[in-house]
Amino acid sequence: MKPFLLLLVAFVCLQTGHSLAQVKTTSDLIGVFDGRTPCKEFARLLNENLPANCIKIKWRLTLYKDKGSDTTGRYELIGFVYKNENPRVGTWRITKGSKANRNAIVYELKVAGDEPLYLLKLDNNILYFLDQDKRLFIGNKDFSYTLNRIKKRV
Amino acid sequence: MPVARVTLLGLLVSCFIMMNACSQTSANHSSTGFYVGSTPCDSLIRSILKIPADQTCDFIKWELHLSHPDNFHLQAVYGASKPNTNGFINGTNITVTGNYTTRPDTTINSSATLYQLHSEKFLSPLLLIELDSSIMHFSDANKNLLVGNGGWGYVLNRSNE
Repeated sequence: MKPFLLLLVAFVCLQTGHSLAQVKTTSDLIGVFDGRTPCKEFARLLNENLPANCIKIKWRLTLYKDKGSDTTGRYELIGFVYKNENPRVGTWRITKGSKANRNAIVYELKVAGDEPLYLLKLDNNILYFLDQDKRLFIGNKDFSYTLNRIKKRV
Repeated sequence: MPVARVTLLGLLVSCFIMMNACSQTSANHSSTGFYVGSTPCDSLIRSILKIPADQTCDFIKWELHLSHPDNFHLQAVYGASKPNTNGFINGTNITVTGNYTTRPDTTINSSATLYQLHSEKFLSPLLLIELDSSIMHFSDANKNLLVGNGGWGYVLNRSNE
């Protein structure tokens, strides 16, 4: 029985490693984007409890594009309930149109079993979180809803 | 008599066109209101606000009132970030009043508006692009959006406070 269990564990480890490796090797890196946002809206959006002392969320989004495509790819998102050791990993696609601008370029970040997240591409360096109606979230005196490109090698 | 009528009609049409043009300029001032936010303190913003090079400026907290017809009042605080808080160790206040102009700008989208804030206290006009009726983003003179960092973006948010 033990050898079987060991084999099973090894198989799961290999699979996990393989899927993470796929994110980083079969796609081209678009960039790494960091930012800090307020908490409340994301707790509501992701159906999570709002921690009592949560005043901000630190985000890091890494975008990769599929080979030969500029409109689809994979991503890794760290922040809030998506911890370093268990990031949100999924696929993205470009959609067109926000509430304020029907020509806006919007990244739709999909993941199995959870709400998609929407990010407006303001330019090559700045992304802006949108709500589920694709309206810009409104920040506060301390934090906004932007993610800014950082110079980091992955 | 017909000549007088044509002249009168011409005058009326001219007046209508001019009034329409004026009302469109006024309509662009859609974002009068109160905006707040915290931004980085990179060289461009430092120079516009004339923050001395020897002073620590980790970030800036902004409170901007835009009021009719074209006046603004800015209260900003900058300084060294106080660890584990959203405040400063020892903040320095800046108060600026002046006027602003608006014009359509297609850098971000076809219906965006560029706000130019003018004051003698600024080294050069402070530029903001309206992303929607609640969000402004700082830009440089070439209308490139200023890129923030992991801590802060260059955004002002409409506030009701």
